[in-house]
Amino acid sequence: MPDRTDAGRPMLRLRELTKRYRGQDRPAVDRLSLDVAAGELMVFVGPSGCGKTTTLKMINRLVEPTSGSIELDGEDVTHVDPNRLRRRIGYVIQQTGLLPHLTVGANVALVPRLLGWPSARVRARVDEMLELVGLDPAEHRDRYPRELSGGQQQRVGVARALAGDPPVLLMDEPFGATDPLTRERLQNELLRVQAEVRKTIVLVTHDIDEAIKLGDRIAVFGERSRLAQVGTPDEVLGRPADPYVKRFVGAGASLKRLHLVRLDAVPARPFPTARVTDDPALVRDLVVRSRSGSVLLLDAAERPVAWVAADDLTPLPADLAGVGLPATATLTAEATLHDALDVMLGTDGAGVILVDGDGRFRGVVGLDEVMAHVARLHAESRRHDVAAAAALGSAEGAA
Amino acid sequence: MSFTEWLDRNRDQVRELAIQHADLCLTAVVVAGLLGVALGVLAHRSRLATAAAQAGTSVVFTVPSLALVGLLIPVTGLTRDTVLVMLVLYALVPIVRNTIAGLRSVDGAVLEAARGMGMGPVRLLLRVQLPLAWPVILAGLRVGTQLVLGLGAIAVYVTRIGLGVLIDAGLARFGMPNSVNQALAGTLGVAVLAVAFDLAWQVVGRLTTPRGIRA
Amino acid sequence: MSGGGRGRWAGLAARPLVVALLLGGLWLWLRGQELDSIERRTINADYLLRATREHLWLTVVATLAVAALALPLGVLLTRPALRRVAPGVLTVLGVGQAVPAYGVMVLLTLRFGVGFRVAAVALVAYSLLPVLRNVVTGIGQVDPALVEAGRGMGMSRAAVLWRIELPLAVPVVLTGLRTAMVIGAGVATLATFVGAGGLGDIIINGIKLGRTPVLVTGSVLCACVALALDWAGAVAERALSPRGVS
Repeated sequence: MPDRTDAGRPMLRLRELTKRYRGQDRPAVDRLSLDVAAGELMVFVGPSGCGKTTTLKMINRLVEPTSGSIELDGEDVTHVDPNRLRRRIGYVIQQTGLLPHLTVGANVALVPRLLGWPSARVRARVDEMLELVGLDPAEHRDRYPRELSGGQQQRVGVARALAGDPPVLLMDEPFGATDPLTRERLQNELLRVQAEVRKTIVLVTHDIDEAIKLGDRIAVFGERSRLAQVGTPDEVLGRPADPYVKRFVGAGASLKRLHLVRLDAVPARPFPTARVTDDPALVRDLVVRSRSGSVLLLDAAERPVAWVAADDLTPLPADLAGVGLPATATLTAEATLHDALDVMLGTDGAGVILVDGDGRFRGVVGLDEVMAHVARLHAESRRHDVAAAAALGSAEGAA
Repeated sequence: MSFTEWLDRNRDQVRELAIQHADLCLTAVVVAGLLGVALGVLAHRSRLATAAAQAGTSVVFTVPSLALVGLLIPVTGLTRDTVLVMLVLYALVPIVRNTIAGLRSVDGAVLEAARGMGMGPVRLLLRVQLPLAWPVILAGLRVGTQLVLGLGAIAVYVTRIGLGVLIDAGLARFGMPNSVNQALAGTLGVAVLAVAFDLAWQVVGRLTTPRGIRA
Repeated sequence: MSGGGRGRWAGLAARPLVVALLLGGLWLWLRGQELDSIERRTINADYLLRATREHLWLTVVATLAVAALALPLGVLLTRPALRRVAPGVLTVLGVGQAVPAYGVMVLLTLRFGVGFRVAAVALVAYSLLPVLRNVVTGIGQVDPALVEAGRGMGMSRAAVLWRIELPLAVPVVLTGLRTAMVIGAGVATLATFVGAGGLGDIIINGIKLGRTPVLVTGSVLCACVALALDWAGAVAERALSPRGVS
């Protein structure tokens, strides 16, 4: 399994980090050590009260560690001025924390101003950040937070956290308070923004699905910040380190792994195609000769238009406009197998049509292709489990 | 003469004035309480009536007590009634406001459930709305009582009743022995009454607030 | 917000109208009265203006003093070190509020003599609590998430206070100051008893002399001053409250 993190040097190094609260005999976080590579999106996931938020807040020292050390980009920051430190670390919280008495623009400008940037640069940066998170600066800059929807507010929160160009971004349940649709959109947007800015991000969530979707690596927290497993989503899903992780990941682990496989990992099947402008009689011949008994019609720009079967061509129509079943089930290669399966179960037709960014036809992925890939994944993790079980001398973890 | 000595010698007078003061204020609070809750109940249903009640009470609260007295004297003369009307008007301010606020704060789902059970408007008011709004109304009554007790001290400028008499006498005897003792007796007397009344309200509150919504 | 300017100021027009009607009514009524020499000594522009000025001055000075006292005190009471004692302090001051203003005014006079300063101290004593209480509540009601967001961005404690806590507390603090001003205008009528002048003079004269025109003139003026101050307070509240905060 390729490890995306080994390449980078650690941006964050947590060593033996411990937090004891007065009046509590057991530490809230107990000797936690963890590295986060530069440009990596690390997700802390775990049940509530497991110390993941406390750990996050120790990184920007909103919670002062009792002992242990924090290194940021090779520098020990355990004892530097926390205010200066925090200006180098973006911070996004669930309640957005937008200051209601300041405009959206002024909110985004806060950290650049704290850093003493000249005002022209601050202005330019505000617009750049709003654009980055998909908000039109002209329309949103001078509005007040309460005039925006929850999703828009959360976007402004991200823009504000990135405005000072910090190398590290901490996100505490950033999408916890939004409805499922908005959350999904914000998650996708975070991935898009992250692909663009490549920050080192630590994100806290209690939602394992969110962790799998967003994380380059996932740290599964047990009680009192015990790190039950740190690994890529595929590792956590396919090879849970212990029964705790297995329980936490939940029953649908195999289904969830489909989230991790992009459509381009599965070989698309070539499929007989024809142009809408072609002669109906020739197309009928093609249909009769095809294995699936249908042909995909494309328009002049090679975009899928309709599935055509023999029934659609008897009696033979004068031309092919409006003939057949509309071909709406299109996905790009960035979509996951989970998306593909979802689309397949919801539509008719021979499968999901793979298109490129401009909507041009690339191939068809059917149920068979998906099932073949799932079988491959299973075999892979079974092999790994058997090896691991043998090494541990225990049957625990066998699928 | 020390304050305690003075108090000892004038105990009867102080007691009599304190009873007068308490009687005056209690009357005002009872009248204002009945009137204020009734007004609040009537006003809380309509947005317009609520706005009018709020504007009216805000004007009364803004007009200084002495000015209000001055405007009442041409009508009701230099009588106890003038004082009583003034005190009732001031006490109405927190009582009406809190009654409206209390009734408005009752959860709409609770009301709907009660209506769904077949409660008519009167039963709804008596069995659901007023009991649930009661802690807020009670707070209004407490504030009104404190207001009235303090303002009762200037009743002396209309007619010679209440603990204000002692304060006024103290001022009149400026520079003479015992003037401070007199004024102090009047002032502390009001404060003691205020604390006593507030304790009484707390007891009333304890006894009348439904257990489920007690703070 | 578009059109917000209109809504922001609506409802503030009624007050000046009431004041104008009261003053106009008073003037018309007085014109119809035959004033005797005693009444004329009080009811003339010079005297009325002087009394009004004294009244306003006393109220405004006391309100400013209250603001200067209550703001730092309130900020202090909301700092982490003192936050726990704040309710206790407010309760003790609340008990003090039960002492009648008239009594305090008289006692201060008996101890320190007559005059403006004594009256002002009494006013301050009476209007301090609402402001202090509102400063404490105003800062206390600021969403802790905002404070954390500010700290998380690297603002110092002082910056969080100035940039987040105080601006967001402004509406509540201003409401407290407005209440203080109204209470002050009321207590200022009692200044007459301690020789500090004001519109209370005219009212008390009216009562003592049994002259209804004097009594009514004093009372109406006094009510108008209080209503006008309250209105000015409301205008200031709207104007000074940060936008974006309801």
